[in-house]
Amino acid sequence: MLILIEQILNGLLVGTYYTLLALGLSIIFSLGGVVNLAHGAFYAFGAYVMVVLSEHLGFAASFFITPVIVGLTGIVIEQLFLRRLYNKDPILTLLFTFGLAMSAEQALRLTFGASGLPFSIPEFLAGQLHIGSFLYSYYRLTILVVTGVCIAGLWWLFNKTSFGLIVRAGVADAEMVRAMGISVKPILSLVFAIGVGLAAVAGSMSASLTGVQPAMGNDIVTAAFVICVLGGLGSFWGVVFAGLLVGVLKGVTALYYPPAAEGSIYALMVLVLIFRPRGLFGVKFAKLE
Amino acid sequence: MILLQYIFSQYRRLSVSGWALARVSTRFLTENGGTVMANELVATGTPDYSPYILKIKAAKPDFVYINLAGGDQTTFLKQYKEFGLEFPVSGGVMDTAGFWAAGIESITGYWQSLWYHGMQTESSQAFTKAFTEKYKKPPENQAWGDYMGVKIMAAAMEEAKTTDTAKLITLMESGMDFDILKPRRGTFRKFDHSLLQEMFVVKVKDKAAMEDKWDIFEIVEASPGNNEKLDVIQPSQEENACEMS
Repeated sequence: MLILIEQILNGLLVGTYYTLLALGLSIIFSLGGVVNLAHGAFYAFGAYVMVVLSEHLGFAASFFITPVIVGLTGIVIEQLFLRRLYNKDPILTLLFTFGLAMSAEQALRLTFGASGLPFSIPEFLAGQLHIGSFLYSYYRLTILVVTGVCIAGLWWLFNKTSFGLIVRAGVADAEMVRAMGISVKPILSLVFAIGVGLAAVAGSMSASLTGVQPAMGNDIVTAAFVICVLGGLGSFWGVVFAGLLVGVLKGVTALYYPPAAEGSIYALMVLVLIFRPRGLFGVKFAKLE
Repeated sequence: MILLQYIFSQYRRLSVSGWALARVSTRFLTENGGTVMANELVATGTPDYSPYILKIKAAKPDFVYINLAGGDQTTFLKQYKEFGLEFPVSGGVMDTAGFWAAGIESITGYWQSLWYHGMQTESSQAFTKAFTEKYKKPPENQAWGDYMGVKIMAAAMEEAKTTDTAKLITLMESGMDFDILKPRRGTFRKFDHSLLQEMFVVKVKDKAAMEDKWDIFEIVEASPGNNEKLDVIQPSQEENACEMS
């Protein structure tokens, strides 16, 4: 019983990490209607930027600068390419982001090589917390705090600021926002930057836990898509809930039947979609319905 | 001493290597008086090993044996270090690139290696030098394997004075030996075309003893020993599931 409780608590910790990645994907879709297949590439790019910057600036400074660099890169990509595709067939943004993902992976491979780069947890975040027989790593607790701050910050940004008001109005009716003389274009750029910036935060934190290699985004981005679909595309709290649910599900499945641990989330997604196609907390999207 | 072993084997949809490694690892352990506490099959590309590490913590084995490969090695080793468990770790697969990516802080103990760039044979050092000059990093074991594949083919073609496949196979089956950048030369076994060769026990160096970031191992000894036949460490014909058509 104790080990089950430990796996559930650990799963919640792991789930916060998935939530962070999926939130970025979700907010890009919410406003721009873009299914960003390159989200994993921005995650990987964030990890590499973190590794490179850390050699010169240290872990802490690099952690704050990396999302900014990736976000600015996102703005450039959005303004040069994605902006031209918003009013066209949605398949075109899918194809573009897919091509971007492939290109980014190869660019990382050409620049840094195919082998992984070493990157460790910094000393000031290393170590473990023992609570009774339960074990937590300080680094994952840090990830929990970072994710909590990001979630709180995003909620405040989208619900308590004029920027957020415009974003929510744009999600509901972009044409009306334009009709009222508010340009949606810079909002779209900023939302895309925030979305990929969140991917970069997740990538920066994962650099110490997994291999930093060009294809590192491929596996994790699939889980991010599953979380978005489970939680409901366009639903902020739905993604948060689904991320935690995925973390717990993987942990409990690993406890009782490890070969199914990775596949369990897809089985759950299928079940949810059968009974609730919009996801657990999904909203209606006129653009796609 | 009963060795309680926790085995991780990689479950791959399209490959039997994880299953085969689990089978031979289990057999070796039990033949030597050990007991397998658990054998976890995990999917290739698992990004988070924390559930399994917590299971290891609860099981309290004498050591942990991993049959993971590639990026999964790196991920597990980094996260195992993260949780600070002190049960020794070893494994049936060691890819130098994966261990470099894990970093010296995350690796300890004894491992097996097909080849390591610290090998002191003349041909091995020449290969390492040329590779390092070209790619600014030493070759890993898989680079050695790729190089050996081409080098062996070239040597066979030069000896046979032909590129005809059937004639080259006949030559290799005849017992021709090849310089495989190891102290002992390699030959091919006729019934399954396995390359009979040495493997090496390697030990992770102390960080203070590393000459550079690639210098993570010291070579402890060769297996089989100098006075033993090379096929001692290979499966016998009866054990071998591979059949040549």
